[in-house]
Amino acid sequence: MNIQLKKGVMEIVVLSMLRRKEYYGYELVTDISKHIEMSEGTIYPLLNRFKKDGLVETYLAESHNGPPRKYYRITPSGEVEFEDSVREWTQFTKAVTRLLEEGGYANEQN
Amino acid sequence: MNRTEFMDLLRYYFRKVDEAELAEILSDYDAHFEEGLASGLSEEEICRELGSPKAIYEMYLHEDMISEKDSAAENSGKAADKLSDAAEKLTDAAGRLAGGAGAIAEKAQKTWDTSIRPELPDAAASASSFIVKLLTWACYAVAFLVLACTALIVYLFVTLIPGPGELPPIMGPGGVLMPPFPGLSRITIAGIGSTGFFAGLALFFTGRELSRHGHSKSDPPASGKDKKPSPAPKDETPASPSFPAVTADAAAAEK
Repeated sequence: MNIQLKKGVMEIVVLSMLRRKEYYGYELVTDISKHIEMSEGTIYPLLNRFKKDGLVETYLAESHNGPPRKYYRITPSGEVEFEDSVREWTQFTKAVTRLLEEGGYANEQN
Repeated sequence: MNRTEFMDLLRYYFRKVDEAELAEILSDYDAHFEEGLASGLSEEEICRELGSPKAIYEMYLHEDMISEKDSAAENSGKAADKLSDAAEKLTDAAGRLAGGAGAIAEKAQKTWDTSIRPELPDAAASASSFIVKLLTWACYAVAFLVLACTALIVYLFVTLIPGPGELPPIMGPGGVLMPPFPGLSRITIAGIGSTGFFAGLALFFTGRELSRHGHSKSDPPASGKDKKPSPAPKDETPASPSFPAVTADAAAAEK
């Protein structure tokens, strides 16, 4: 998959999960990898990228039995970015689906 | 891979990053290992899920999130990295173009044949084509002869291997007793046989290459992946048809 496209998609995936609740690193990474086939190690750089871009923020919280955990939380600008990205993604997938249908490739999964 | 190896590899790839950044990057993975172990996974399983440290490093690089220290000694390593990156990109592009490469090669070959390559006058062309045909058949004939002789020689030696002292001495010219025909060891026979065999093969394939290039010079070399110039004793079967094709490929690949 094109690296830019993948990054855009991962943005949507990560932000959509963080909108539901605040995750700590390991939890988020393993949950994502349940839905999407990817090496978990490459999610952390993306998380740090989002943090650097101000889409998410992190904080440390004590865990009951272990070292403090790094939690991720979506920021307001992250929410805005999420909505924009979802809109772009929907338009994009609609256009691709339309192209395929016009090309005679019927989506047989329905 | 176990945890220590994974973290060590990470430290190796991120060796040029400054301490503070490195510590933060590593802490993410340390924490991941801790959590994974606490959930009952083994270090190997965790490493497998994390993927390769190199991919992680490349992701950070690509996202432009790390600043690497520059130093005179590091720069040569950097240049080497850039070269290997470029080489990787080139091979990727070359791989992707593999499908179209044949078409491009043919196009380049046609351009070469029609416009660039110096054309011989027709009379000379047909004369040289005749000579090439002659040579081709000579090669085939000699190859056949060599193979046949090799087979014959090997057969003779094998059947003639005497045990020690079995053959009586031979009466040589002038009545001098000569030692019997020397029995050759099996190794020597095998050596002679394989030399002859491969020489024959080489001649045979030489003949084939000659015939390919001699018969029609305007066709591209028989297989698109033949980048090596074929052994051609004559100038008008130019080794260079490969080169414009290669540079056209490289140029296309570099785009």
